Amino acid sequence: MPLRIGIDTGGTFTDLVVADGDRVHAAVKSLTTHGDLPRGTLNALAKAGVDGGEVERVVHGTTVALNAILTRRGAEVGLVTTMGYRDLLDMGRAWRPWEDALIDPRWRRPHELRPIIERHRRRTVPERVRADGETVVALDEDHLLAEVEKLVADGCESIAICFMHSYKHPGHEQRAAALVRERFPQLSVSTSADIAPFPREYSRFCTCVLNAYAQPLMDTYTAELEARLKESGYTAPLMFMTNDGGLIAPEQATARPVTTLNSGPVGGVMGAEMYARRLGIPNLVGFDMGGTSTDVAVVADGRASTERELELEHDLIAGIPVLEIHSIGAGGGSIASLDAAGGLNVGPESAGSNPGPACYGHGGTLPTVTDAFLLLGMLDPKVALGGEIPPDVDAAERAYAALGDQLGTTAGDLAKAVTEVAIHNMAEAVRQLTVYRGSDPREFALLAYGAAGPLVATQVARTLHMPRVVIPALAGVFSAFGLLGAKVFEEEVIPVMQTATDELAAEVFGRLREAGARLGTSAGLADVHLEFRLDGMYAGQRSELEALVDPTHADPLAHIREMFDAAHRRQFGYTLPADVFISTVRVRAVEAAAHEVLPTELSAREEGRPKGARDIVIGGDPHEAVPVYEVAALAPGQRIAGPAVVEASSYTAVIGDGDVAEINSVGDILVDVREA
Amino acid sequence: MFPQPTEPTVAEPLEAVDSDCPTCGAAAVFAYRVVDYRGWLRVTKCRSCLHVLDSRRIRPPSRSGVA
Amino acid sequence: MTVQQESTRTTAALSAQEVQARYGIDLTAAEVLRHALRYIALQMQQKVNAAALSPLLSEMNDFGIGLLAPRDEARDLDFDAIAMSTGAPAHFVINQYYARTAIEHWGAENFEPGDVVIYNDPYRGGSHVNDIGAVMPIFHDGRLLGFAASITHWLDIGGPIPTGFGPGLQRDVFAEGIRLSPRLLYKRGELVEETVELFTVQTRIPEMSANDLQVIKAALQVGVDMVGHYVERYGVDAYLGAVEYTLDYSERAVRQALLEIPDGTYEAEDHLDNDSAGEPMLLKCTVRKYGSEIEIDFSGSAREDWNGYACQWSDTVSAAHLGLQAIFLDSVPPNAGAYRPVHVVAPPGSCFHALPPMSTNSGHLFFLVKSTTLVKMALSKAHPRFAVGENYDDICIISFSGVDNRSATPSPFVFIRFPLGPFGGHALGDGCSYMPIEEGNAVETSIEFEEEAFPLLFLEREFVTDTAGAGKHRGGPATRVLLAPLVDAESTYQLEQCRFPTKGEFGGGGGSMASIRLHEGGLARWSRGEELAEPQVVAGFADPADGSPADPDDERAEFRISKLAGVRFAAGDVVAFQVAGAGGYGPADQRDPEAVRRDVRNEIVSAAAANRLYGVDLGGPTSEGEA
Repeated sequence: MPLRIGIDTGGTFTDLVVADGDRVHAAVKSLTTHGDLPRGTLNALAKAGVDGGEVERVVHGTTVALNAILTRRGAEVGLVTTMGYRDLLDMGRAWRPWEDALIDPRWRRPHELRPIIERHRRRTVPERVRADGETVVALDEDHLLAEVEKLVADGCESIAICFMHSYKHPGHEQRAAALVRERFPQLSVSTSADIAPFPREYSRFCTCVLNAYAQPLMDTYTAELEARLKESGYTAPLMFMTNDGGLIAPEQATARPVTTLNSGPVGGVMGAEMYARRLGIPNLVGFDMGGTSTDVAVVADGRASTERELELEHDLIAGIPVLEIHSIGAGGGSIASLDAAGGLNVGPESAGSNPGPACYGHGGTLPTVTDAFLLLGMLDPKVALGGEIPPDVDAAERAYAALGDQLGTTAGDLAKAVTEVAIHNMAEAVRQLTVYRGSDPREFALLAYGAAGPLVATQVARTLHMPRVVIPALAGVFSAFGLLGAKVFEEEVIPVMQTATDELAAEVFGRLREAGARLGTSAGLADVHLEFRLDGMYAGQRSELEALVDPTHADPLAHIREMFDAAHRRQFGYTLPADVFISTVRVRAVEAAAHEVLPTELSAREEGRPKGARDIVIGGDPHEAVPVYEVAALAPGQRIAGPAVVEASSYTAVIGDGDVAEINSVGDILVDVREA
Repeated sequence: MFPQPTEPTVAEPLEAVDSDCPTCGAAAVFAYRVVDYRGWLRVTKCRSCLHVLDSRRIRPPSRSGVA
Repeated sequence: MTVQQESTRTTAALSAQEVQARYGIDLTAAEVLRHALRYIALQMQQKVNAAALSPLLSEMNDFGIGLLAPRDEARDLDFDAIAMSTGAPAHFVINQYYARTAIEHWGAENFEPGDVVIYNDPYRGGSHVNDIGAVMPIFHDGRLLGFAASITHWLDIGGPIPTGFGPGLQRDVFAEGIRLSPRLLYKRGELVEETVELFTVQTRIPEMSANDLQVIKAALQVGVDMVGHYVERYGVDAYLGAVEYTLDYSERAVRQALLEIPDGTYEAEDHLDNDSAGEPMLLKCTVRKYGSEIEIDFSGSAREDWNGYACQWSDTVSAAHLGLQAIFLDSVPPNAGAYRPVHVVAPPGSCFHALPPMSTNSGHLFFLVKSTTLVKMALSKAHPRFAVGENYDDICIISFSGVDNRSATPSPFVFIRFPLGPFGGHALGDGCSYMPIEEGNAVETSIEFEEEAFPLLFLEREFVTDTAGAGKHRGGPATRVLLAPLVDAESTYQLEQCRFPTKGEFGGGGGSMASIRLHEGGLARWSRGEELAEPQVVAGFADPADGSPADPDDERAEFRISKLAGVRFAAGDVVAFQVAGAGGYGPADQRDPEAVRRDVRNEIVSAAAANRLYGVDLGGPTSEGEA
């Protein structure tokens, strides 16, 4: 059968999963080669031993655009904007970050400290349209071209064109873009209405600027990658994963790199949706604990929740729909420290990968969460970390002893405290998306993946009274696995910006049906199904929520109310008796083909025995000689009572006291979690 | 109701206290009103080292809009 | 994420044994609960953000919400604030007075599970009538374990002025709006309709009020439930021990921070542009710092004045704490422990301590920031590392109300906006160009949304060249907003620093003065791309002959007061609202020439000013700036 490949290029590792039909064929990890990313990708392909001729599709999750923005290594970019609006980027949305800078008079926003476009490259042009579309000032085309001329002379290679109300009235932006492209064909041009056709000028303009900033680099990257893949015999279509779980061709990824910013972690969320379907567990919390951060996502009723924007740094945002991932600065590399008043903090500072945790032996002396895991026995001191680094237990011990001295406590006790605090921080992240939305975590299972997710999963679940934990077979390369579940789609956005009435609802539904018919045929997909979304809010509220709607419904207004109320209740836990204000509506043509993928079947026929044992502290309590199992040696249906450790090549899972784990036929571990 | 003060600026009246500060020895001890984290106090306090010799919880001077 | 590889600096940490001995819980539980209490307050805040209809609550975060400790004499707890949300810092401290006075008035023994008591009397430890206070008791097995408490700014609270801000129009407190002594909003979980009706009948926002009152209860309930969850899990004694621990933690943090400030007596002086009669109001502050104690004394400040020119002592105290916290180099989690080392002297009858029947609605905005600024100014003198140049120093307002009669169905509207501005330079770098004063932390409303909802145009919102206070580290530039109402409208405006420039520190220069100017019928010219005509001064110094802008040093110049309500503008007028530039830090001749060049390139500083102020010669004035 033709093979499909999912490739996730992460910060440290490039993960690759190959599917043969609906079955995983191979899964490998290879080091990411920064500075020459395609090489790492090809290394991974070689490691997987796949014949290019057999591949029908390559799905790629990458953080190229994201990293370019975060490290400020994007293009030389200029902004052309409505007169009077030159300084939006330096104004942001005015507020300071809640956590660190709430009343800090010395704070400066990220764009001021590390600008993407300095003021001299932000040029205004005479043009102004009102909310109702009336032109107050016509676009001064000569002035526009003169400004772009200056930007080009100053070295700009990419231009963002951002005008007020353009998402509703794109005429001026379109005209400006046409003129600029004609006169300066070498320039990359991004217009805000095209990139983020939604209201809110700062959000839209910022998104457009980020797009312009990342575009040339994305262009180079995709061209390079396609060429190198072709050279190595991989001629199958290369597709990129988007922020909201879709797939786009390289040309689209190049035109709209902002849609790929979060494509790495999004793979994990797609994987969670696949598991919800396959295991028949409609409510899952996706829990990805990595080196620097823990990402949490929620699948409710089988569907991942979505958000209206992606925050890269404070007020550096992409204002486009994304799968919702809540990220906290708590990961394996998080550093434990004492503040001036003696408070114990875990993160957000991280030891990163250089020097990394003390136990990496690369010169790190500060105690991290990974060091704690090692000292508590959760990680095997005899096994290389990430398959590459032999752990230096003494270094971890020294780091914890140094901090422990300041508290009059032993290294071991401090490691327990740090782990406990870290677990509570992570539990809080889960609460953000559940409890505080009116969802009861007792109705959810915790799906844990990433480098460290399976290590803490049962403890996090117990803290939240979640009854089940699922550790997927490919937990260590889960994002790459999830990429295989993504589908191609095309979307069209229609601005509305009015309160729903019977008349408006009928009109909007008419437009949606018409757009759906058009998109269904033009999308170029063999077999599509149409999805219709409404982005709205209760009249008086200020941020949109997405609701699926059926534009063929006989009573449009009642249907909108019903669907929006349900979406609001799901997201926030309640409804309001107010009218519904419709910001935009969207129609999406999604490829209909299913992409379910199962991991490989376990081969053992008899129950596997432990391969060893070690002492472990779990939940603050010491346990001697806890049995350690190898996943590959277990038989389908085998049950293991905690305390126990289950190890695979790319992850380690800790089963707690009283927990009962069951392995299914494809190596997923389902744990019934003992009540706290 | 209270009348508007007649002087253009207002200062808290300080009642001079005869003893020197038992902590720092300065002749800077006064009795006056302060607000701490729980409300109004009449303190006897050294204005040099901020040592509090005596402290009594009192009602806010502007108690209630009704009286 | 940066890596710190130096060893951690010395801390005042308690040992694990000390924690166990003092609080009866182990260090891990103490730390877990300390973090948890903060999270609970944050979640309560998010509940309000998500559910409230009032944009002041959902977007501007003009509220505070959190948890109060129980009364337990042995543990020295007396309904003290344990954790307050990160809503708007102006509201952090005040519940020590506002909520606790209401609890005392109601009687702690009179609360029952499911009760919510609300109140809004500024003279009971409050701020202004718009701020609605609410408390909900936390019970466990019949024992009162504290309260969930909130203070929320209501968009309209009745009275003669929509939104309640009417400088010059509200002579005394009786002209403000409805004033509620503590009463039940919910009785044992049931909504008390008569209380809701006070809002639906008396205010201009009945539906919004009805909804948001219920949202407040839901948010308080989150706090009550979450505390219950932790008490179930850890036990009552552990919870109480953790509460003591949490308060002591913040107290330790503040005392550590105070020790780093050199002992001494520090004075500061500022002004409010005008009182009711148009005369400047002198504002003074003397800060005495010794060891880990501090006293902030506002003696010598102007007397209270009618028509809103005074604020509540509780506001003054809250703002003084903010000033202190702002000066600290590291933030401290706000709770009652953090407030313990501070004494504030607020002389009754001064503008910082209104006595009945003074109106304090407008004064709440006028003096809150001044109080914070005075403390920052005073402590800036303690040592350069603490110094910050003066920011735009105001909670300014521009509002338009009227009837939008452009369509078939005329509809009344009230538009209000709080323009923001720059912060001052300091030892670490230049001041931020644009953010709210420390009292608030609003996410700014989208202009596109405003233009959908209101008959006006935002023509401009940009930085202004040559307004930043000069310095080694300059202040941020002023922002100017051009607003054009599309229908005739009545306006209220409040703006500070129109009479005196902002101040720099340690040789830094002051920023430009603020002003409000009117270009009558200016929209037509603006639309045609023409220069706007010479404006009339609305607030600031004017030539009495023709109202054109005048030099403050010109003897003939008259000062037009910067706080007024009921001012009429015509459709098509252009109102130019410009906040102050911020003060700089350090002598200008010490500024890095490369930074000056960048400022010129970016048109923050003109080439001429670069030469004059910074001594950097860029080859003559240019209009574009060099690349």
